[in-house]
Amino acid sequence: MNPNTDFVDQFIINGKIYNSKENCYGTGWSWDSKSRVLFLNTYHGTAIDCAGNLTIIISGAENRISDRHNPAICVRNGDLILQGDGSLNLDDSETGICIKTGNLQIISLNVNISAENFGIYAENGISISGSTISIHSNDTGMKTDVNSPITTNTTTLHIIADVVGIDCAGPLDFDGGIQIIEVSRGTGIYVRDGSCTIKNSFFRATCREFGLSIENGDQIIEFTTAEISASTGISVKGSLFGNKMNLFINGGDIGILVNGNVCSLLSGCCVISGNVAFSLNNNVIFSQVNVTVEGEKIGILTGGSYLQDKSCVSVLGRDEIGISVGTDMIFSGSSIDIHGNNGLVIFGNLEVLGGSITAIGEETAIEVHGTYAQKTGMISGMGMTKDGIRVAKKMIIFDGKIDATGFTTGLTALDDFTIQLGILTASGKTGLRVEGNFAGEGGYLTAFGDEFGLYVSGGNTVIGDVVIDIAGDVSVYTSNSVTIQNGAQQISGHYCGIFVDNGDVTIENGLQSISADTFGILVKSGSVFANGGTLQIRITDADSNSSGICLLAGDSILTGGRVIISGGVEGVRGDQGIVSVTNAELDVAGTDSGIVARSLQFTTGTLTAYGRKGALCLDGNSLICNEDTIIICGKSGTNAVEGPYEGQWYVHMYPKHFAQIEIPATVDSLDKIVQWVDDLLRPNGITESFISKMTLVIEELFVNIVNYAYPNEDGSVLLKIYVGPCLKLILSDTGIAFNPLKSAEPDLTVPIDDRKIGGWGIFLSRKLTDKITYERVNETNVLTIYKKLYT
Amino acid sequence: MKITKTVNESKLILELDGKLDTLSAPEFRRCAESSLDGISAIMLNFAKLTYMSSVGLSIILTLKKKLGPTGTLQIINAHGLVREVFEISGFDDLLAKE
Repeated sequence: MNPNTDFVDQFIINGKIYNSKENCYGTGWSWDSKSRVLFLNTYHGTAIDCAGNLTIIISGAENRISDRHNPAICVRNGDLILQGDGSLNLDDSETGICIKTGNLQIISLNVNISAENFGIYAENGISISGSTISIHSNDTGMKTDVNSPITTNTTTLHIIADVVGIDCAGPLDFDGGIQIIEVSRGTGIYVRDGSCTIKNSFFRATCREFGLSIENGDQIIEFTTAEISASTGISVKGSLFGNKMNLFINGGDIGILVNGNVCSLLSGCCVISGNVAFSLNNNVIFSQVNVTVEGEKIGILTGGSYLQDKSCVSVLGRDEIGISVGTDMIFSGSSIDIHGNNGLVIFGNLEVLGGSITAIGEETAIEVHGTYAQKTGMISGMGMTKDGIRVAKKMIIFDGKIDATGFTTGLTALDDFTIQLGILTASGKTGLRVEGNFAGEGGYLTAFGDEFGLYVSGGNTVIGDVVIDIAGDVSVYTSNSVTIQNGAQQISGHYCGIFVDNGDVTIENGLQSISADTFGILVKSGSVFANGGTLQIRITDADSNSSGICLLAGDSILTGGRVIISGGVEGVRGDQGIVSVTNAELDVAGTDSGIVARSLQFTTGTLTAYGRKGALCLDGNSLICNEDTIIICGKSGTNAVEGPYEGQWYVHMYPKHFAQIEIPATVDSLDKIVQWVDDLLRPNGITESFISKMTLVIEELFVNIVNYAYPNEDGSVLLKIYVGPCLKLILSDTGIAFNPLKSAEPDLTVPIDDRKIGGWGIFLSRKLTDKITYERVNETNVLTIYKKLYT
Repeated sequence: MKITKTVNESKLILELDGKLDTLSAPEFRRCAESSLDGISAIMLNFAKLTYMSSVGLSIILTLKKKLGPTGTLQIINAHGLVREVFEISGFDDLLAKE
């Protein structure tokens, strides 16, 4: 029966047409024309069709409407309200409920619909509260048009559809209740214009295409557990905001696809999988959330930034990338575990403020195309076939811990690299590779490489307060200069400790220990400058042409500190250059030669060289030419005597005299003398105990002069110190003649109470030295004190 | 040099911190000699004394004599050069057995 749509006052029920302005009734129904209410009570029949507003109040356990050719309930140009305490079954209809130019409201009702076409179509919107709705449709479960919304409140919604579960032309809002959507061929929910909000709900969608497709708005999920299984789990044109949710998405192709500004997941738990689990055009924020991501190809792909705070994220990107960040990544905790062909790729900058990142890549574990700054936290990158960590721009470690292990390189910094504090461990074929400047300002650096421990090309290497442990075939390679300012360095190389291609090695301070098979320090074109600190070089292979320091062109200039070399064929080899020692200690032993150089310059400090072909092998014309230098030499150290150095196995050099000072003969000069002696002896490695004994002797003898030499006038004392294997100290004054050595010695055999108060100064001076002599020469008292430096 | 003085009934305890040389000796001498009233025992704690010249020996001898034959003077914690000075001068009896 075709209703006459022009006749607005009619309604049809069970195949008959009635005038809606008159009350009427039939089996299981009655019509109140005044209120336009149709009461159904156990109605079994065909379609209901009404023009204008209609309210249906349903009672009775079973009301059943079926009509294969028409909508079971149809309202034209009006709204429909369905309510009551009964249940309504709309069976095998063309459409379950159809409202043209009107909206549908369902209140506290059980409705079961099975339809060929739409389960529910309401052109101007659908609102359901406190109801249980079950829809089985061969096409679309629910549909609105003209930007009309769908809202459900505390409602159980179960839709099984072939093509679309819900096709909502306006915003969609689920608040409370359960939503279960199953779509065999198409999409679970389309929201065509507006946002989709799911809160306080349990939501499940199992679909062939999209689980949720929000075509022009945001997706909001709050206080909800959502389980989605679809080709694409969630696709949203705007942003995705999740808060206090449990989100389980199994996307065949994509888990979550967000085109808008942000995908923000705050608080809760998410398990997301897909070929690409997260595909985000812009930014992602994880805060206080646990996220497990499994991507066949990519775990998380963002076109924008990645912010993570107080969250645990575990990511697998099997074939391509674990996490790919389009711009910057700011990470402050708690943890990220990444496993991928490439683990973590960041196209902008990485800032680590805390927490831990563990990345394992079949190729590279962590790749940063921008800068890298780490304040604290723990970063671990393991690259199975390429690099552990690779940073394209400036890298600075303020603090924290980094473990980088790679097949080719543990850590590659393509620009400048600075470590201020913290711990870095890098290992690979090359441990740490820096293509800009290297600055080790503090912290601990451990680098191990099969080929190179630390490889610096392109920039300078400055080692400050960092503690370094480096090993490799070539332990440290630098293309430019190396400056060691401080810290402690342990450098072990199979072939070479430090290899400098085109620059100098300068050591300012610190404690360096280098061990290598062949070369301790190998410098191709520059020089070695030692200005302070202690450098110890040990060469283990004495067969080949090994040497402690090998200079192909430059010089070895020592102006402070100590350099100790042992074990190579030659201690220092620099055929083209000079070796210069000023105020420094050089101790070098080679199996063949100690020092091989064009010439040697020695002013102050000490030099000890040993070599069986010659301790010093210098150019024929080269002379040391310093009459103030004492040269002790011989075939062995023990039988050494003063003499020429040519052809000697053992040579020890030291300056004839160090210094002298003239000082007023008053006790107030004492502090100045003590300081002068200390400054003189301490840099030569003379022990504290020796200096302190000499200070005592000088005090005793000086005070003696002050007390006796100048009774009536001001005078002065001249002090001279000669340093050699035996230290010689001379005090002279022009006061009245007085030999303190003639004064009586105290008697140690009498009891303490009977001993004399004075006379102890000269006694102690004699006891603490090897010999003291007195002379009166040219109206001058000369006291000479001898004490061996080594006993 | 820093001196810490403690009087415990008839016992005077002096702790010396620093260097006892010709310049600092007068201070030590004044401090010790001005505290001897009613004192029959002196204990010198040299744990923090790093240096002592013969002037130290002279002062200690003077103090010992002022205490008289019944008084006791004991030196504790002497180490390094200071201890060596006592030992080579035969002042071992004054060093506490350690």
